[in-house]
Amino acid sequence: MLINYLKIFVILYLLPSFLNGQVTSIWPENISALQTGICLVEYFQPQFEMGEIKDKSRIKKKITGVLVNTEGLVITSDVIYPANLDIVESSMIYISTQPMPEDITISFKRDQKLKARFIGKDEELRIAFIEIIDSDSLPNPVLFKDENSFEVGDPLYLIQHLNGRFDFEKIVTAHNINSIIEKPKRRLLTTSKVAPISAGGLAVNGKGAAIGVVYRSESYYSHYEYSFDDPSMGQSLFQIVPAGQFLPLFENPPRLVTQKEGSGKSWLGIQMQILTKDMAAYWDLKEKNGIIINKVLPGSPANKAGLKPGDIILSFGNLQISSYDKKNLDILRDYVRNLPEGNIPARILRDKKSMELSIYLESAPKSRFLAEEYSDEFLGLGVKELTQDYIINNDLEFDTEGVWVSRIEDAGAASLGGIDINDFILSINDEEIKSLEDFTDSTKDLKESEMEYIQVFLKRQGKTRFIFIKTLLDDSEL
Amino acid sequence: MRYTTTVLLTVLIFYLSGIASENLQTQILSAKNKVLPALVHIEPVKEVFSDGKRIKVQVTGSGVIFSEDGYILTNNHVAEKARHVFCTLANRDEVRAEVVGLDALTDLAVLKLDLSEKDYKTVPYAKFGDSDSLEVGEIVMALGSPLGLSRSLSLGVISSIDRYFEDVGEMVSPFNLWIQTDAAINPGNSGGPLININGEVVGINARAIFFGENLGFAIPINTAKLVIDRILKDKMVERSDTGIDWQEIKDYRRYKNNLELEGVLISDIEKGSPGEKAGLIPGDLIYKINDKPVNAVYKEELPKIRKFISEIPVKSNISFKYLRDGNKYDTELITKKRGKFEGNEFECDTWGLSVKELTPRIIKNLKIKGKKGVLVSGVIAGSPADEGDIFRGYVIRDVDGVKIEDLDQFKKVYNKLKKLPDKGRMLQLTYKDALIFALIKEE
Repeated sequence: MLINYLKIFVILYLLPSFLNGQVTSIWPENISALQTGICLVEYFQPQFEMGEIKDKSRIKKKITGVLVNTEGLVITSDVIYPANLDIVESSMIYISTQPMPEDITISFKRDQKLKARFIGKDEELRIAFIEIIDSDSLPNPVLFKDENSFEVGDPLYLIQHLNGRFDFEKIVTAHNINSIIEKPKRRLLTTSKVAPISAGGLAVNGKGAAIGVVYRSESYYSHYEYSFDDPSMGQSLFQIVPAGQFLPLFENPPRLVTQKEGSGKSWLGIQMQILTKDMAAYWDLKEKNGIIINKVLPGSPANKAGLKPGDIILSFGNLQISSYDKKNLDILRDYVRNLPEGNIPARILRDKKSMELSIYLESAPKSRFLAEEYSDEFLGLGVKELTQDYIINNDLEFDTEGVWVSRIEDAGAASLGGIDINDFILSINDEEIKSLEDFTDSTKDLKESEMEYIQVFLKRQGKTRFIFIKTLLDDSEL
Repeated sequence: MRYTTTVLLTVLIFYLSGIASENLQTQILSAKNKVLPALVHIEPVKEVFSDGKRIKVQVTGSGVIFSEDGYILTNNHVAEKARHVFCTLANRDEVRAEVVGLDALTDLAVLKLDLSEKDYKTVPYAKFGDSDSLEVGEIVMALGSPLGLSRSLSLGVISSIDRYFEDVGEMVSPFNLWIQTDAAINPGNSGGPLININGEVVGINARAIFFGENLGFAIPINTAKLVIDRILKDKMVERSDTGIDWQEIKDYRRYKNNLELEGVLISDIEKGSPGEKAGLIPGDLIYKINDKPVNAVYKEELPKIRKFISEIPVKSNISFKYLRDGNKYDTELITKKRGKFEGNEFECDTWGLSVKELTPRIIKNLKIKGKKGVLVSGVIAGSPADEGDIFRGYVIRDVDGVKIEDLDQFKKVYNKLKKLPDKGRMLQLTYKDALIFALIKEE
């Protein structure tokens, strides 16, 4: 009882004496060796500010990273860049801009600051990749074991960092696996009993093997977090990604896609619902399990393959839908995401008849988070190029081209003229706007032109209207 | 001599001010006495739908009798959805009334008292004034039942005669400007008269601003006169529609560097509307409609243009003269009938949901594709519909293979199919272009 109680207790290596005696025997011996590959990742997160067209303030944050190779590759939780890079199915304008982490530094030991840069993240694993720029004299990387057999109750040790109150010292905590979630991807869950602890971190099993990394809970949005000192505020469960899932990524870690590229992941372009047992009975289907297509996005691979709303997907590639579980929707989505571009056979049910077809998978369009933003200080607004998710959320025609207003400066010219965030710009001074380039072209000479009024034709909540922006004099001219 | 003059002057001033104040008091009382007997306190019992259930609620409003045979003018938002209307007259007699007609676009309604019930031959009524000749600063009084306190009078002046409000949700007033007054107006004043010092009704009190003080708004009585005429004739107000949205040209003139420009700018045109078919596009500047010059430099001038078009008989020809890229053009179109504003609702109690008629406004606001079907307006928690994952905002298109056309046909289908067989009923619904299947089953 006493031992169990102590097991869950915080054990700082600031207090080595604590490790002596009865407790030491149950800890894996190489815990301290593994700790050398654990680093503190410091970065600045620019704060999105309503009413500004540029982010002026930023917050310093610290999380735990794990060095995984000799070239300086570090993995950590994706809280460092939590933007949803999948096309986003909701129009939350407040987080439509997610700034990239800035000025990342890594320290394995005190007073060390190695410059690093953000490479990319894996959307499903929720793991981000960072690269140390000056990678001389790095400690030994952590070698992960691709462990497959986990059981609830297995001992588990987490290496993370404490918060500023404890000077960001490393902390090792002892846990047991409390739960294993299998779908859509395996996750190990353990309760967190220590509040002032960092995001990210290394998970070690009872034999001392590094078996996974910690990421944050699903509900986490950095946007709501104002205190970097206590990043696990309100969190009571750690979720651990087993190493087998991210080991294959070390060779070629995911990179943020740039302009004009797709997201690098495949998509079908459908909305779907699960075929329930009652529905299968109602329709008297021979095939009991499937996924019903609700919507086929125009121009998507599903659309090109001729899939229709009401079709029931029975199997896709090697994935057979075999239960009434709603999780099948996530499983299919994840399965599709990780398939390479190319033809995939599928079996569907249309009007109760089974049919085979082949779908040519393509890369999914990028989300608004990756869309390029352009800020015009003269007009006091920022615009972003259209992305598929904006088009879907605003019920625009799928091949619509143009830009939308992502930022408005309070009491700036655009704001005074009556332009709102989320307005979709159709033309400026009767020049059609179809791209970010069109926008910059038609606005670059505005200041010099000394036009008193600028006409903006835009669409707001499905209706078009004209807005006339009175150009303001510079403060210096006032 | 000087002394005498001073005394005389002083006496004169006192005397005059005595007359003036007595006059004002007399005038107020006289005005009140002309209208108060025609004031009614209205307590309709309304049928509303909430979370999929049909419920009854009682509301309080006011109204004014405008004819000796007992016609009452009140607000649409007081009388709409009313199952029974009880009116309390100024002499505290309760008399039942029926709804003659409603007009949501001006927020006006006409009721008729059932005079036979109390053996009345006639009832006292109020006279209408001319709201077009009102002036800011004129003394006015608001009569009604603020917060249910019946037969109340509040006094103030006209603060503005041309207040313009953009349409917001169900608060619309496309065809009129508003009279603003500092006479206290509270909920319950709705539908009551705003009267001038001569005891003539010049407006119908309808809105106030919460958290604002002494900011009340009345619908000009001249707007009501036409609505009353139409309702007494047809029980409703039919209006023409072109599908065109208008915008004032104040800043457009400056953008074009031409402060002499006259006309009204097209800001939006509905797809498939008469305006679109006539070849008009946003940005066209209309300067003549049916050869009558039109001009809206300020947004306050927009309602009269909308009203002018709406009053042209449905399916008649309208000609437009317009400027595009500096050139003059003309075109014609045939107006269509403006669609219903508020749809009917219906409760499907065995399924656990309520549905609403698809009106052009709902179709536009919710961007619904296609006109056939009924809108799910509420779902009862824990009901078969809720268990079947049906949500508010979905449109029912098909029930067990029967295509849904409109609310009336849906009611028939529902009454035939409401009993749920063991295997359930399959509904096909749409939400934002997605086709959703929902099985409604008894637990």
